[in-house]
Amino acid sequence: MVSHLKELYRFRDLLLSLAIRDIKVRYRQSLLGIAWAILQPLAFMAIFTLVFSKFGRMSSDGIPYPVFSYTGLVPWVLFATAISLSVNSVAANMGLVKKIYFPREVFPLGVIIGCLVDFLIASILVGVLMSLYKLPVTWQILWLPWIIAIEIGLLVGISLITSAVNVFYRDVKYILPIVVQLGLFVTPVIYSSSSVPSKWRPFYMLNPMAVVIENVRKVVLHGQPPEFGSLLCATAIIAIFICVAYLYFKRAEVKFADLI
Amino acid sequence: MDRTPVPVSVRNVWKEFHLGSQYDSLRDAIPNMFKRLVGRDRDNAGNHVGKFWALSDVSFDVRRGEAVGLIGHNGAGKSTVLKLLSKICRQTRGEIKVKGRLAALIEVGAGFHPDLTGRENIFLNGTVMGLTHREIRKNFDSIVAYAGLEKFLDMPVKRYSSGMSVRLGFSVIAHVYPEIMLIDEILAVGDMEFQQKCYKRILDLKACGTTILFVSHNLEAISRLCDRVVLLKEGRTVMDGKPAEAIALYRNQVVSRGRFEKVWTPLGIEMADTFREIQFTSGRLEAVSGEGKNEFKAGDSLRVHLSYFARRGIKNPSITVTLERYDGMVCHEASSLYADFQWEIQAGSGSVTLEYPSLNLAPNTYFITAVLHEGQNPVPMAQLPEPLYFTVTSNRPTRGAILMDHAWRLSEPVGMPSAQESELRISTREA
Repeated sequence: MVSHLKELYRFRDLLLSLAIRDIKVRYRQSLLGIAWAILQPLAFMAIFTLVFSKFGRMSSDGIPYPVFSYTGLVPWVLFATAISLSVNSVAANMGLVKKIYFPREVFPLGVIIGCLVDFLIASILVGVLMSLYKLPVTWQILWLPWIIAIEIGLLVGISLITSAVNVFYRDVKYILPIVVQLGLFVTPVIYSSSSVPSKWRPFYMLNPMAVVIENVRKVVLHGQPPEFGSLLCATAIIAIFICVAYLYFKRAEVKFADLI
Repeated sequence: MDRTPVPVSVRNVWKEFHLGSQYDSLRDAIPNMFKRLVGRDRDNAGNHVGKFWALSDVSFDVRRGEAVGLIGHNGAGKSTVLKLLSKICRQTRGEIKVKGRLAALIEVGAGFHPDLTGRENIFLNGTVMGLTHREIRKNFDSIVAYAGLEKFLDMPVKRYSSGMSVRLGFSVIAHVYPEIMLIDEILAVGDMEFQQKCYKRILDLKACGTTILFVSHNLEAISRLCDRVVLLKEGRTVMDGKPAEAIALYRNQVVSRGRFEKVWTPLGIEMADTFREIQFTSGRLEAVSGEGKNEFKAGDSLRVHLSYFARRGIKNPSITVTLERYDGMVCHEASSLYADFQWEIQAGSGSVTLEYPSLNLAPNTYFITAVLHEGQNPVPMAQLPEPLYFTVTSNRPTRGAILMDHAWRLSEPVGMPSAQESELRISTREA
């Protein structure tokens, strides 16, 4: 594991190059360019606000619905795009994989870094919306990096496994978007977790993205401290998950180029 | 820099490949998994079909600063060796040790993205080749100048001509300074100028003490560049020794695959090519004496005897026999059309003979192909189904493509008494 990480460190510039490539290629030849990073969650927010605040009432824990849903959508869009883009990242680069050696995890990791840039740009609007709705920013926001780190860890683990399995079974890239779509309904993105019946809550909070988004809202919008118990628990589980995923990826990696 | 005397060591290496797709979709994989769990159908469980050994017990070492060539037919395992050394694949059995920074010159412009500019692609391609951003920045101007693309740096690579992108890719590669360089058939792509550039680059690396492993079908380049040659055949090491000896053995392999006479049965032709009006039925190489052979000495005579079977008479046929070197260089073309050789083909069997009184060819492997046309119709009526191979050998060490009669002359300075000319004539014909 240590030797794998050392090698990955040696190829850190390649990782960076691939991330830059992903971002540049994504927005080149589009009129609005990088603005799409904001427009995507913003469009979702507009739709959900229209549907849930006009047609049906949706509990948003006393926060104005647009800023409530946008704050949940930004980490969710990061999750959904990173998962659906990284799954095919190795398979789409088979030409390179068969010709030149470098640690293959640079492909899924590069995708995640590229998506993080979008995420950071989209996050700016959260601040704008908060000042519009006069929501105060508190010191609790300093917990935010930890919470986002948990989400990134989750993304790293999932993308390492899915991108490797996808090389052998292309089914994965078809299944995953469906799973991500369904995930939106079991994660408190467009509704509040307080509307989940309390007897289901323990199961509901097994979803790591539920933990992430719930706590993001707590520290950003409510100015409350995060739920330390669930964050510590999630950190430990995801640390183990990343190790398992990485070891699996490195074992699968040597077989990639053998597939003709 | 690593100073180990043997930076590359390959010990009893075996590599197994699965033919066809081992896994493709879960639809195939789940039943197989089930079968394996039940314990039935163990040998026939889909992904056990079509295994083959690409390498069987291959061993060799490369010493520091040595240039070793890998030669062999297609499928002999040359590229597999390079893939194992560069860690793209892993061996099934055996041990491979590589010490020092390794770079593989296998593809030019690997990782280029068409939508990115030349400048952006230099960084992308450079990091794919294992350079760091700092190294690229340091050499950036030199890379651009070497490619000669200063004006096009900010243009997307998709608008480059293919020559421009090859130049850019090669320029990046030329700025990689590895301790061990793997080269796979790089001289096969690009134009003459590009090949010369590649060649010079390899020589430079060699002069700097880089350890080189070189895979090529270009035996001329192999013999010029390499200190040692490993000959592979069907995944096994046949020989590991001096370039000249290994190349000679390889050439003999090529020829011994085909005998001096090849027969293509008319029966088979009737089955396969019902609409063919004429077909070659046999080809034979022989000396003018009539003795069939496929190993000739320089200056020997060669007779090509071709038999055919015609379904109808052909009024004004023309036949073209091409003599090519193994690497595809056309050495000679004999066309009955331009030789004013008038003949007529009757329905039924017949034959035609072409004679070369003296083979003025440098030692090498050659092959003969033939096509038959009717009149000026550019579509051939018949082609030789497979080439006829032969070798030319010589006792004299010769380089070049052909043998020419030539003479050396020494003359004393004018005005000296007893001015006398001495002369040494060299004939192509060997005693």
